[in-house]
Amino acid sequence: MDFIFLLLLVALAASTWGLVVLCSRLTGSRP
Amino acid sequence: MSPYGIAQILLYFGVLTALAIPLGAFMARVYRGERTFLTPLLDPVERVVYRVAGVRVDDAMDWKRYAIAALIFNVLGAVVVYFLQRLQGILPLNPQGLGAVAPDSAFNTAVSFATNTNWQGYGGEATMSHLTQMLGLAVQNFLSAATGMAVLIALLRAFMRNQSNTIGNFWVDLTRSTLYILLPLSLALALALVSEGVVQNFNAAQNVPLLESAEVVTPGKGGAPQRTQTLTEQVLPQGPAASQVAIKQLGTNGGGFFNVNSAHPYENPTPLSNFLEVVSILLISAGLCFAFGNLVNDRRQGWAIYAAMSAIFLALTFCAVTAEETANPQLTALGVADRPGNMEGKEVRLGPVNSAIWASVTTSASNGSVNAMHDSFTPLGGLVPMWLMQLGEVVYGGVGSGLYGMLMFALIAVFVAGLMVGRTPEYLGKKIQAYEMKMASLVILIPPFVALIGTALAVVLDAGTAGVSNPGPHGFSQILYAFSSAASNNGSAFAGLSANTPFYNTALGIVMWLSRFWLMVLVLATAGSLAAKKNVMPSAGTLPTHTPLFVVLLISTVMLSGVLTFVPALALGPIVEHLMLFTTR
Repeated sequence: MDFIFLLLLVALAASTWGLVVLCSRLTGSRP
Repeated sequence: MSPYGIAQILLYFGVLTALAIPLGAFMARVYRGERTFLTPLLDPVERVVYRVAGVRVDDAMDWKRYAIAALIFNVLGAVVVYFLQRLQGILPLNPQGLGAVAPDSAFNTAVSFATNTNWQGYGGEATMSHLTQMLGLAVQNFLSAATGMAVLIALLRAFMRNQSNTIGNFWVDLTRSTLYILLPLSLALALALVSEGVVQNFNAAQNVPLLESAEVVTPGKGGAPQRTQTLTEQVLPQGPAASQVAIKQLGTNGGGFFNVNSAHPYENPTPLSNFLEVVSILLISAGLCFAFGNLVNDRRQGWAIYAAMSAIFLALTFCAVTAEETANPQLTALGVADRPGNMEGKEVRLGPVNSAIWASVTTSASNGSVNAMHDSFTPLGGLVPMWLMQLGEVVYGGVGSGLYGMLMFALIAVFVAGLMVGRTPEYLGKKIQAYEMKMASLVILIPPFVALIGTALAVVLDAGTAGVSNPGPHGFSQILYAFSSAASNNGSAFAGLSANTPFYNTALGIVMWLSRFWLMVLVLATAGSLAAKKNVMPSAGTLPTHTPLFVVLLISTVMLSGVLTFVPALALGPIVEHLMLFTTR
C-alpha cells in the first residue's frame, strides 16, 4: 500500500513538473 | 442582528486593520532585505542557514527554477510527513504508544499539510504521536505558509522588474518568511496562549475521575439491544499544543492539535485566547496587502486590494452572524429557547456570534480551524463559509496564496473592464496580454473544476455516499463542503462527513495537490512573463487601479465568478435545506 501512495505522490509531482514545461513552452511562443 | 454581534464584528475588523498596517510595513522591509529591529538577532542565523544550505543570496532564479525549487522542496516535505506517520510506532516521543497511521490517511495528511490545507481525516490526540505533531505537522505549518509567501513575493517582484528574466531566489524568500515573520509571531502568540491555559508539555494523556458519573446509552444496531455504560473517569489529552496552535493560525494552516480543533478547551480556553487566535488567522494575509502597496511603491494599490477583500468579508460575516443568531424554528416549536440563537454544535462559552465570526474568518483565510461545528450551522450560516471558500480563497485568503490569487483576479478585472471602457489593459505598469489571461483564467477555473468533479464523483459512487451522516440536501452539502474545502486549500469540514476512508483520503488528497501546486506554477509562469515585459508609464489610456471604481470592478469579478460556478450546486444543498427548514411546519 505504501508503494501505491508514494507512486501517487510521484505522479502528482510529475504532473506539476509537466505543467511547468507546458507553461514555459507557451511563454516561448508569446509574441 | 444584535448590537453585540455588530460591535464584535467592528471590533474585530478594527483591531485587525490596526495590526495589519504596521506588520505590512515590517514585512516589506524584510523582503527588500532592509534592516529591521530583528536584524541584529536574526541576521547571523540567516547567514548560517545560507552557508549550510549552500544558498547564494544574489543567485536570482528565472520562474522555472523558482517553481521547480518550490515543487521539490514540498514533495520532500510531504514524503517526510508520510514516513513519520507510518513509522511513529517505533519512533520516540510517543507516550501513548500510538501505532502507524494507515497508508491512505498518511497520504492524505502528508499532502494536506504540504499544501497548507490541513484537512484532517484523523483525530489528533488519538492518532498522532507528539513527534509526528511537532516534527511533521508543525514544521510543515511553517514551511507551507512560507512557500505561499515566497511565491507571492516573486509575483510582486515581477511587477517591479523591467525586462528581467529573474524573479528572485526561492530559498532566500522561504528563509526570510520563516525566520523574520512566522517564527517571531508564532513564539509571541504561543506564549500568550500558554498564559491563557493552552497546554504545552510532553505528557501522556491523563485519566481523571469525573466529579459526577455519567450514563451513556448506545443504541443497538441491527436489532441488537441498546447498551448502557456508566462512566466514572475521563481521559484528558496532553501534548505540545500551544506551539502548534500558534502557527496553525498565523500560517493559515488550521490543523488542530486535538480532534475538535479550537473548540477544545485545551486549544482555545478563554474569550481572550479566542480573540487572539481569530485575529491571528487573518493577520499576515491582511498585512501582506499593505506590504504589497509598500513593495510596489504605491500604497494606494494595497489599500484598494484590502478594501475589496474587506467589503466581501464584512458583508458575508454580517450574513453568517445574522443566520446563527436565528434559532432553529423546529427546535423553537418544541419549546427550546430562541436566544441567543442556534446553539447546536457550539461551545457555550463562545456562543453564536463568536462562532459565526470565526467561521467567516477561517474560511476567508484558507485556515480551516474551527471553534464550532460547521455541520450544525443553520443552512445559510453554513452557506457563508462554504461560499467564502468557493470564491477562491482570495478574500484575504491563505498567507501569500490569498493575495496572489486576488492579483490574478485583478488582472482579469483590468482586462475585462479595460476592454469594456476602451482602456489599455495594464496593471502596475505591465501590459496584460493573452498569456497572462490564459494563466489567470486557469487559476480561476481549476479549483471549481476539481471541486465540482470530485463532488459529482462522490455523490454517484457508493464509497462517496457511505460517508454521509445526514441524507438529503444536508448530505450533499457535506460532500460539496469537503471538496470545496480541499480545492481551496482551506481544510475546514462539515464534520458530519466520515471522510477517513480510502476513497475520501485519496480523492481529497489529489484535489488538494492540484489546487495548490498547479496554481502555484501558473502564478509563477505569470510572474516570469510579467518580469520580462517593459515597464510602461501610466498614460491617459491607463485604467487607474487604486480608485473606488476599480475596487467595485474587482469585487464584481470575484463575486460573479463565484456565483456562476457554484450557485447551482449551492441551490441543491444549503438553499434547499433552508427552504425546507423554514417552510416545513
